[in-house]
Amino acid sequence: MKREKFLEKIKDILQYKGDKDLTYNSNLIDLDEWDSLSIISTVAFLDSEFGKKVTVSDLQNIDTIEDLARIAGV
Amino acid sequence: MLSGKFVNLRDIETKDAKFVLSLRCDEKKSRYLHKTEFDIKAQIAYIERYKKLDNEYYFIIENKSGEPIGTYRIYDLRKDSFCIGSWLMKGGVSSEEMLEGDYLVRKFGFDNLKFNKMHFDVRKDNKKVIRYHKMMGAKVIGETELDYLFECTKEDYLKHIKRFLV
Repeated sequence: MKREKFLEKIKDILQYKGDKDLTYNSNLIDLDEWDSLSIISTVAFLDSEFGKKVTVSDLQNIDTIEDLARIAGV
Repeated sequence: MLSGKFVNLRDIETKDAKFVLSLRCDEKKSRYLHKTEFDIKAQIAYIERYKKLDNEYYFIIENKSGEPIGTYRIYDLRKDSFCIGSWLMKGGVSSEEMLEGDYLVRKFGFDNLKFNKMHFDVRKDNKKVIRYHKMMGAKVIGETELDYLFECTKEDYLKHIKRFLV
């Protein structure tokens, strides 16, 4: 998966409708949309699309979208 | 009371009226629910009426410190299926607390009430919750103008929740 597509998928998982553009450096902790439902969906996304087995607690303290991309290997 | 690793589930009490209203009157959290007025007396009366019913279950989800963090309801008990709803969680709860609260309510329906299937509806624009339920094995079986109608069997749910529970 290309990086642009990865970012689009994360935006969709977050249902992000904020004013600022989301980038790979966007801090997830600062986003209201990075809630428990988004974290669970991200766990499933990393597993189904990239075969990466992470737990919800692995993602609870993650900082940026770049960190997610690193887990995915994108 | 049902006890889990991250949360407990207990029956609602009139003392929970203010907490329930804090969730139900939160504009963001309740945007997919019926509108509720912030009226403590009316909420207490609602809980008292509920307490007299024997075909509904209204739960408070508490964290392990005993602090209420969510609400959940089982109602519309049919021959072979129960309905879930009124699921609201406080902001800032962890994914583990959310997942386990949901798990304990479904477990109550499947194990204690002996159902093998559940049904519920979700507003069509509530995309995060729709995605969540599909991840948990639910299937769309119909729709109205506003809602998707879902069904989920015990077997499908247990198969899908396994990957998330630690």
